[in-house]
Amino acid sequence: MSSALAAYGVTYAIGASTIVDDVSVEIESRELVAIVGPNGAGKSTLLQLLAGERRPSDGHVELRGTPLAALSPSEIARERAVMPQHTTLQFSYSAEQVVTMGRHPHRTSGAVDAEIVAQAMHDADIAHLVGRSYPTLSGGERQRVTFARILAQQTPLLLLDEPTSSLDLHHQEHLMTLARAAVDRGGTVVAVLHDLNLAAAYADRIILLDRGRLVAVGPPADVLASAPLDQVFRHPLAIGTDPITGSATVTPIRR
Amino acid sequence: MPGRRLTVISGLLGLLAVALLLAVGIGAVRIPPLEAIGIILRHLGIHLGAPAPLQDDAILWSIRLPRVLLGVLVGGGLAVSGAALQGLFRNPLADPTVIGVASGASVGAVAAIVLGIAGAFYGSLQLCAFACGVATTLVVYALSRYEGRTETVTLILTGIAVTAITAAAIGFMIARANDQQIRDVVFWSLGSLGGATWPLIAVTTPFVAVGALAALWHARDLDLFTLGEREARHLGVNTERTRLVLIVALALAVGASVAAAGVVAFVGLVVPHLIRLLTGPSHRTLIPASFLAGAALLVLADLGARTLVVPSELPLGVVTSLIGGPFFLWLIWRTRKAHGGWG
Repeated sequence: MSSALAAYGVTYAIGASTIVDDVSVEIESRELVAIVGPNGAGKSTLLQLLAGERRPSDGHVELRGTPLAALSPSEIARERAVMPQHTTLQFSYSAEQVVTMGRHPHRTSGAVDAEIVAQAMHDADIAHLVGRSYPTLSGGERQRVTFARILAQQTPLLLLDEPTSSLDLHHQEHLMTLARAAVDRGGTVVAVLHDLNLAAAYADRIILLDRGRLVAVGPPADVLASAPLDQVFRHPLAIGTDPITGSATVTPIRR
Repeated sequence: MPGRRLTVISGLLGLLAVALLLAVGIGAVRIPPLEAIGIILRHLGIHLGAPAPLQDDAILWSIRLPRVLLGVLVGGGLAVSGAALQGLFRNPLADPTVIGVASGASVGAVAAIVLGIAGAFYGSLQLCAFACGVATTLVVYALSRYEGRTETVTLILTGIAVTAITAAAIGFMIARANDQQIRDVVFWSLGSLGGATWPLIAVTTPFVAVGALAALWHARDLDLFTLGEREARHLGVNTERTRLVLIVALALAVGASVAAAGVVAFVGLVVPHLIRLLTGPSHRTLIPASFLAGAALLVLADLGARTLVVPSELPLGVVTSLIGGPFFLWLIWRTRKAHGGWG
């Protein structure tokens, strides 16, 4: 049984600078993996390499045991969906039209699509925005519309690049709960996250990156406790335990 | 909104039909709509009622109908190309000039006039313009490729740079031209449907059809392109191939349009915006609706060009700019008011 997604010795360099340096990791089905690290650690670039959006300078990525390079864009699009950090639109498509674009890889009938789109919009809590023009939405609303589009694509693998960056507290938890539910149904999620507590609470494993290198990978409690987290983030940190859920917590020490 | 789509398309079809009948009927000799329909049917082999006077028949069939049909091809082709390129480049300001085809065609036409190739055989000017237009687009595309990939912004910037070079080439040739040639160049660059003949229609039609059908075929892909090229690829579009197919097909359509009628300003830029106001941005409606609206607009503009200042004729580009400019100002004002501009 091959991994849902695997990187083998993946390196990405632009000119003299190496953004991602020799990263190998295997991600299994029914797993939610968070990629964390400070600014410039190469988190988004690693996700783009996993998505096949950038070609590695060295190493390769396999989707269910097949090298990405051997798959066509439409084959890949039926296997995995990618949520970018931002999507700007110059033309006034409605929220519903944007979510419907997620159905493109499937060539299913309009009636089937409409049902799936309605469900995805309901799940992402944007049913009330159905006819609103995308360019007029707030940053958080746009991010939820984009997430609904990713859900409508109905792929076993989701790659999310900072999916909660513009969301309020409630919608952050809501989105991560949906991602968790997708994993529990047999899917796989890889998410770049800035919020270490969110990562600790929802992820099965955390990948810690620093200056393009994989520093640690493993269950949240192990990675957050054992790794030299203070040094990676260049800030003193207190590691604790959530009194209710028991998951690890990270608090910056403020003086 | 499939209902709305049908309404808009049938409405535009009706508008185009009315424009066609007006345009073939109005002129020095008036031909009433029913008589016009009778003459067209007779040439198609359907005989109804008494035949029309021979003179009317000749004016309509040999002079006005080719001119009006060329208007349909050029207006429709430019509008569809503008709509598709705006989507492809995610840029509301894109028009058929961005890929260099119009400026390249101008170089070809000016060279044909100044070097005297234009008089060599019938259609030699058009052939020169078409070949230079399409070749320029291919040069722009080739120059903007890097490591096997083309990036949209690079492509647009390359188009601007190449357009500057073609402008220099045109300026150089004009500086060396005689007075008559300069008159010809100026007249050509303002656009005209006056050169319409049945053979010109026959050679222009397939190229415009290729561009329009390619845009229609890729309408859903164009919707995804507006999300961004990376997003389109994530959703399964083979972006590199789709862009190449569209650019080549649209270059053929625009190249043929410009070769046949000169540079007709504003149609490719303004018509798609007008249609988006009516139907929204979805390309499945936008592409066919733009073709019909562009065709109707150009037929009516040409009717104005040849009837407003009888007995002389206004350049077609002057009429389309006169309509397009103020409309575009209104559009800018309206967009700013609706959601604070395009930014």
